Amino acid sequence: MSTDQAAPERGVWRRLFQAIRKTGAYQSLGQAGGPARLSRVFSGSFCRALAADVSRSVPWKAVFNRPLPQTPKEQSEIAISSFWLHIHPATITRRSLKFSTTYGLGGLCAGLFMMLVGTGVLLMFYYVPATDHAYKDMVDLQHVVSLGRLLRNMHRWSAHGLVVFVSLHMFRVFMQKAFKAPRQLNWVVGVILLVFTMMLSFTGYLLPWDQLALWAVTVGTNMAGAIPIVGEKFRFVLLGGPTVDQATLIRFYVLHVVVLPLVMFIFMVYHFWRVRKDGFSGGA
Amino acid sequence: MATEDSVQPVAETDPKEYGLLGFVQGRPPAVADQEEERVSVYPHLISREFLAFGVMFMTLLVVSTLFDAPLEELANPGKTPNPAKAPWYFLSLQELLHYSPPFIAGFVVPSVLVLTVCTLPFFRGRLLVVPTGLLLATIIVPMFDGLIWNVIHSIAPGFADAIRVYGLPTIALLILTAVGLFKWALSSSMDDPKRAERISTRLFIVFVLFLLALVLIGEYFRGPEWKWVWPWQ
Repeated sequence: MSTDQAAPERGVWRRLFQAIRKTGAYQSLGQAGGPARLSRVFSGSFCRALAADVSRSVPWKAVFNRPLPQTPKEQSEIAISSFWLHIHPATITRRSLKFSTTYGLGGLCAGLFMMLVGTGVLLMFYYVPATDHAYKDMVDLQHVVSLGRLLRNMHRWSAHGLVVFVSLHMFRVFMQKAFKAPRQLNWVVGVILLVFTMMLSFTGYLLPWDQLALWAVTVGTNMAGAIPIVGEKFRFVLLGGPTVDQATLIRFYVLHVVVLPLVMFIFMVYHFWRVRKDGFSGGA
Repeated sequence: MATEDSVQPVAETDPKEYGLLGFVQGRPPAVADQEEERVSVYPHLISREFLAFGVMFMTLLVVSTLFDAPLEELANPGKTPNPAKAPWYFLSLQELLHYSPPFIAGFVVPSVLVLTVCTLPFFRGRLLVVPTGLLLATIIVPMFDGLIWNVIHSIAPGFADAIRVYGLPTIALLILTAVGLFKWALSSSMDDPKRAERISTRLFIVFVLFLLALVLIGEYFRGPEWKWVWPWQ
């Protein structure tokens, strides 16, 4: 299959049409004498045949430079040569692949972070961080903006989900003693990421500028005032004044959409890099 | 026909020689020739990642369709809700604020927790009971701050008022606990490494359960003036 590289200039649709007639995998779809079975569409052989054909088309090659890898050699090369995949090693052990090794928790955290960036940027198109504007924007998102309510809900639940999943991830790592040498520093980086997750969630909490936001942040920052000697000053700097006000809103907004995500991203990249470089801990 | 690419095995070129020094009990160390089976990341891991992300996305979509994010009335600095609650992940600290002064619940407890968790991987073997025990103690000891203060107050009221501000009894108790944990970790009762690890794991689990309980109490069982209410009241 993979050696058939002939005539890519004939176009993807024509190739697909030919493939449907030629390849056995497609036969059950439209064969005379037997009903087309939808289940076959989702079967592995059909998907593989379709993917192989699409990946030999001109547009595919223009984007990806190469057809989908078929042989084990091509498969291990793609993780290194592809920009998007090179965060992964070429191969991993079967043990790491097993669901009960990681429960996919760390990966889900990264996924939730991406969801939060995506929905967050879309929310920024509508939201103005001003005390006379923010709440109206929230109401507009709920009632006027197309899919605005869904967008806000997804951002909110992803944020809660991230706090939960980062904690679960940490609990899993502890239970497997996967923080042991040589992974000690990566555990510390993970703790920093947990703290940043909470700070991101906390700064985002204020932005809707409703009663829940104002008073939760008032209670939270009052605790910061308990730090000895510098507490009150620290609280003043955080709030931009003695109480939660416009100055606080813009500070929390800038922290929430620029400073904290950026720093968090840098720590995330370092966290992933260390996972690969450190290797397995002796603990498991 | 695709040509079969196979990985060439690396020749054994170990120049070292080994002699028998003695017998020890325990498992044999892992050596290179027992290398684990490896699979290529593409497609094995990539397909699982896409599946996991897809499931997560669909779940979020369903949850976000069914449940609306809360939005209360416009912020009003003149109208304090009773009780005013912090976000749920800070509720364990706010709950501790009910038992001990702000200096303890707002500063000492979070600082000790974060620092202890950070240094946790540097305590090896039997010493792991020190950080895990300290984490648990950092949650429990502040709850008895009021009780301890009452006892001291009945003996020396002036002194009690002074140390209440700085939360000295709690800090003293935490330091004592840390010293005690060190002594315990080094005692002969921890000679069995398996037992020591089991104990430290249990201490950590109890710590997590306590934290969880405080969050749930703060979220569902606290009403006006931070008084106990049942969720159905």
